[in-house]
Amino acid sequence: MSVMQKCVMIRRTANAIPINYYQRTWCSTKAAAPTDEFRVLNLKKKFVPPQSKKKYTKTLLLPPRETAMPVDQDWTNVWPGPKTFHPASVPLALRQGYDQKRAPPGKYGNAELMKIPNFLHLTPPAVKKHCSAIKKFCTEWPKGLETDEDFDKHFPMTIITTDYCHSSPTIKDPKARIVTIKVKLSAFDLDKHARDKMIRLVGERYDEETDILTIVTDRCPTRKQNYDYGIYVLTALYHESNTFEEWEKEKQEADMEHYIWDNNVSKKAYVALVEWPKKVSDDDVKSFSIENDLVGQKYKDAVTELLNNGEDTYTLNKYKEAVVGMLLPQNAQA
Amino acid sequence: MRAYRRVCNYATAAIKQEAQYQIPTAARTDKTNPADHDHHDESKFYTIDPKTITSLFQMGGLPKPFTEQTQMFAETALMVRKPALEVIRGLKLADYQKPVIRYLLYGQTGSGKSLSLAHILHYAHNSKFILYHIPYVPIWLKYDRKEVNWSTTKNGLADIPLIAAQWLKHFKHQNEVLLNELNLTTSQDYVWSIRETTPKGTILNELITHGINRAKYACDCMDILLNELKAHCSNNKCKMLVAVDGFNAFFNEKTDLKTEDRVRVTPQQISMVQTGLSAVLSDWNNGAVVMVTSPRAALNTKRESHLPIYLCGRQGFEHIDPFIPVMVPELTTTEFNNMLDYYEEKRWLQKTGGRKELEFLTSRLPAELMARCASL
Repeated sequence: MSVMQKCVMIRRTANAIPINYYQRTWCSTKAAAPTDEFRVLNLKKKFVPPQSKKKYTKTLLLPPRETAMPVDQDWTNVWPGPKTFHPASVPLALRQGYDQKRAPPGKYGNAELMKIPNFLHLTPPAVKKHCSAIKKFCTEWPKGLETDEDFDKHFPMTIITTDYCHSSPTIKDPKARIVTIKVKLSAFDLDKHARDKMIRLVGERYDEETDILTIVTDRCPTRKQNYDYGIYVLTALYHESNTFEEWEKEKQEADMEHYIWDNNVSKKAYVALVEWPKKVSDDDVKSFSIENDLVGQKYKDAVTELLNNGEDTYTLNKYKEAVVGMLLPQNAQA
Repeated sequence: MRAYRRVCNYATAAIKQEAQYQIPTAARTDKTNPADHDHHDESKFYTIDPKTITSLFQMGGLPKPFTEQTQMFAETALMVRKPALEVIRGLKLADYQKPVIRYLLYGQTGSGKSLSLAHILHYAHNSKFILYHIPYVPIWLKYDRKEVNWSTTKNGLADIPLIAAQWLKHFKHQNEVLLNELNLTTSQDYVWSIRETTPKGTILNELITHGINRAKYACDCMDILLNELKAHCSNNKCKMLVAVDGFNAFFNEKTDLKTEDRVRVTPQQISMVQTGLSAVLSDWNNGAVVMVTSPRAALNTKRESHLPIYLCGRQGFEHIDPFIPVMVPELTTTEFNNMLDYYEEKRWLQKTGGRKELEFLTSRLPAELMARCASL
């Protein structure tokens, strides 16, 4: 509220002054001299003349600083750090906001410009100056860490914590205790079974595209405890993945992580087709090998890809090609 | 003067229009037998004679809007398109001693799958295939106004007797001449009840007639008919084409149907569906199977993609694997222009121009184009 009032006032004065005309006035703050008489209780009502209206005096201000700025000044000295936008010290003809009939409002008395964060302290020369100032504290870049791959190899685990700075009575922030551990699954020494089990155990925490496992711990009160807990979870996951439990033998077709052609109906259909008109039993299907059968292998690959990668134009076309080669060899030749 | 000028202007405009605007004619092919069609006839129209239409599609098979249009145009002209040609070529080349080859037509709604199937059916009809044609599966499973009974012969399955009888009528209508010619007979005795039996050696036509007259046994009759035909095909007595439109409806989660004891049945619980599923199995030879999956046949919650595995599910895929998927795409530029030429020739489209706009609005889908042009 106070900011708004101030703005309105400034705007009024700014409007009232003609351009390039600044006047200096001296305002008197003297109060009326105290009299030595006692106050009299006036029981009989007397006519009190109404107080005359306070005379309005124009507040006149200094001309804005931007008008006197040299063109080749060092901007980093004018705006050394982050601060709220100030129209008089930014020599730019900025406009912000919306007016239905007129041009967007100018920068003077414009609250919109004050609300948004500005990066006037982060001009390229300022950054350069800053870097050159702290350069003397830097050490040499370590050898053997030139690429991102080197980083993944030598530092497979990333631990992310956040510190918070406040100007409040307490410097503690509850969010500072959260620890995020990120690690590439390929960094672990896992076999096929262990990898699959690990992925199933961690569930959504594993990102298939980037191969990154993310563990976020925030259940303990301090950061140290959360970190320890995260590392403990990771260790437990690793060892649990490497053990093979008795009940894992009960895995069925619906539990498979991938489509395996040899265990499926598709193979039976193929064998029945090849052995036609003989009836095939399950044992025949099991013992049937397609090692020297190019057509069968192409079909197997196509079905596997179609069901594992999902159907789209590419996989369906590949499947079609394989099936046409299998069912209509005459067509494929022609 | 003003009035005179106006009259003159109008008159000149009319003459001008007549002089410039010649009604285009669509490219047509003379070959009326689909067996003769090859890639030269692609994107051209061919006319099916009305007699064939009545014998093939009297009781369904062509989409309703298309049938209405053919009545308006007083002819049934189909465009020769690549997917149908591909399947017909496959039917010509196939080795009929091997198990049947299954084709699956898929594509967006309104891309012409059913009409491609009609083209294939016409070919099969001309080439003396027996047609085991299911016009559109969802009409079996939708609209709960049907009599649904639990089957007496098959445990846990439900019959839709009247619909089955209707289908038998359809089958008879399509194949009566051919069946009489081939003189196929039943291979064993069928006992329906104490008084009704079909002895071994009865002509299949009689079996079908029995199914139609005694609708109670129509579903069983359908099944028996299929088994008999499969056996005959495998014995080289005849050739059969199984055609199923809206195939993916077999694998929907639910139907609208309820039995008399108010139990909602799933598609898999219906004996006719089981017969249909058995028809598309490849345990017989001397024939072919053509299926059409359509997003419209799926439940309205499952129409996001037109790709076959999405529509049929894993179970459906495993049921028909290995099959040849044939994509029915939208019209090519040539086909699109020829289609519009045809509409202009028939004066269905009364204004020229705006083809780019029509192309954009309809994304070159023929069914959409038909609907869009109706008001122009």
